[in-house]
Amino acid sequence: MTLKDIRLNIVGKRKIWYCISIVIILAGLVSFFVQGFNTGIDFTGGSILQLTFDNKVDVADLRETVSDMVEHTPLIQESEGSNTFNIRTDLTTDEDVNGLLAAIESSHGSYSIDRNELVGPTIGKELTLNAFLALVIACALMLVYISIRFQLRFGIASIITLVHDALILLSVFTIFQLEVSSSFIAAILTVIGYSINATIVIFDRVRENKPNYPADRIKDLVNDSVSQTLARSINTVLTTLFTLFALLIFGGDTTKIFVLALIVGIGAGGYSSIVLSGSVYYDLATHFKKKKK
Amino acid sequence: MSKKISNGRVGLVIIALLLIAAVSASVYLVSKNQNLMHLGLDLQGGVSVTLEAQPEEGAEITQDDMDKLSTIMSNRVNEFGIAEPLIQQEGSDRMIVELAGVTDSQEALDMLGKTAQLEFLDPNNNVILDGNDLQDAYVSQDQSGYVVALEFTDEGAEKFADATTEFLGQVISISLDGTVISSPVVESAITDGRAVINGMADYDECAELASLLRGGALPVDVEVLEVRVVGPQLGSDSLSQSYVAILYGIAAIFLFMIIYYRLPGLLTCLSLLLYGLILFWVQSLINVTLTLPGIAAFLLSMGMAVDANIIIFERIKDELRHGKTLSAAVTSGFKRAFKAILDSNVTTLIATVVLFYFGVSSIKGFAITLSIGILASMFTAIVFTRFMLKMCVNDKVLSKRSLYRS
Repeated sequence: MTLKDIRLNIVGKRKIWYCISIVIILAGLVSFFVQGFNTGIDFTGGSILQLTFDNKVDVADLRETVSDMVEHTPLIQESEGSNTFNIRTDLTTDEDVNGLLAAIESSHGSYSIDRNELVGPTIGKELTLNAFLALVIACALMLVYISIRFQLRFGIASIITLVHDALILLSVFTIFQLEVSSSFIAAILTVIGYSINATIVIFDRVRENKPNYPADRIKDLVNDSVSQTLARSINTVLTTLFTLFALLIFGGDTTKIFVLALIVGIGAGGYSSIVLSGSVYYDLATHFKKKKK
Repeated sequence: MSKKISNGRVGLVIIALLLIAAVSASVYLVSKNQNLMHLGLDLQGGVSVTLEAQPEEGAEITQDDMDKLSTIMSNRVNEFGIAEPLIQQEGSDRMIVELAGVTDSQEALDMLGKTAQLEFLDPNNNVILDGNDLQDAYVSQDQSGYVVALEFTDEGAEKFADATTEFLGQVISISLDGTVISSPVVESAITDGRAVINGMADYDECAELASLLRGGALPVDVEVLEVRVVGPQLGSDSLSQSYVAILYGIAAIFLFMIIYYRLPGLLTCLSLLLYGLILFWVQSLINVTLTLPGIAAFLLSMGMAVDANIIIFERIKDELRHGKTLSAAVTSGFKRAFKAILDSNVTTLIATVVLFYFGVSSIKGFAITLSIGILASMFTAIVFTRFMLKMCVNDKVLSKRSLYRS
């Protein structure tokens, strides 16, 4: 038996798929209200320092030094096995950070600066707003294109699938408190690009098969179309994940979270294109018909 | 099909050799000439400074102000000795200056954040002349130590001559950004258009002031919104690791495609090499800066390139299963796959165009790479893979059904 022989009953089990997605997104929503996002300084504003000290420094002593200089509790992490510390504070001006650096040097000796970032609180918010607006416009235009080339209900189903993938990604990041930085926005965009691509190929098959199915067999139409494109859906997800897992395992530390976001999003995109896009289309198509009558 | 390529094996070997030669040559060229690939700060390390122009009361920031700001920033950065600074406007009143390879954020801020408005004031605090009248500024030495020597333009020299004649024996103050830095007494009328600023602590301070003055004063004050220093070690470490990782990933894709799709899978590998070459050289030609979002766009469009091939091969397998001959299956398989590939890619292209028009710089970079990647992936899958596949179909050995895993 090959993948070609499989005939899935995706639409029949759609309540299960909807439940899975809704549970994850609800959990994400709860997590969002309880603990929010673990936002990087791109969004909150503040400073990040990464210092490697020449002499052994105790993390508790360092914390004390830094705490005296800032308002909110600083976040200090020690890299294992080295004398390197990540220090995150709420300082937003260059003078303040230099003051902090001077204080650290006088108490803990000399160091080299690996990283020194300073962000005003507005930048990340504006970036998010900008990306969000661009996305809304992009979705509207994609909807128009899909409606012309396919039908409106295909367009709506594609956009729902795409929003779903973005929500799953956001949910995973708030639930597991993974750091959201400005590159996270690029990750969301990538996932959305992937999601729409994966969905359209399946809808293309539905469009092609449609004349061969009578109107009362939409369920079979969707199930067969998804089954016929299953090999392609799986192989495409697999090949995309190859590179991403290679990056996760062998890539540099700085890109890990970013790659993880892509993996979660593309996993969600592959899943939703197979089980959700067709189901949503089916519900839209049957609901539409009832209204007409 | 013409006779020329009817011997598919030879053709395929030639194509493979040409592609491998082109890829090797590109890799060699990149390793020799860093300028072929512009790396963003997130990959290369350096300082990124975001400045916001501050309008004077009742005034607004005009595009003219921003253009002047950009020119002066670029002058200052050149004084800094940075090879390829990236200076770009964002929105109506912001400017991002990226200095690759710089690690000292304070130095960068001293250089970029100062307005550097030089003014010569008469004893009644009226402005005699300002930075616009300056022709040149450089470090010099006199009996007091290091000084910054100034040369005025002809017009400036005239104003200065008039002023030094009028206020002989009185104090003329020199101020920088509103702070008086020197208050010499005019001992004689100066008509040669030269002056010096003394009182600097050391050579470095003189050099810094001289280069600031040479760069010119900013048309408006600026506020520093963001300073990021990405340690070069961090940048280059993660970069070389990422290269290796992506190579592993691509190797896995190649292996998978060949094992799963056999001969067509091998053609995908060749197509992907061409896709990579097109993407790289187009990016290099239009000077796209490679950033982390850019790498994501590269991975996504490569996924789409593989996807297009997979869609085609699955279609051909369908057609073969329905009993068509190989040649007919390839023709109709491509025809059927074309619609899916076109619609899915055009939809994504629409999104990238919107992101490009409305997005801020980091999103723009993502959109550019993704658009080029999508076009390259469509071209290689629809034209190049098809070309090679037709060659194989017309070859006695390469058209064996077992090579197509139907």
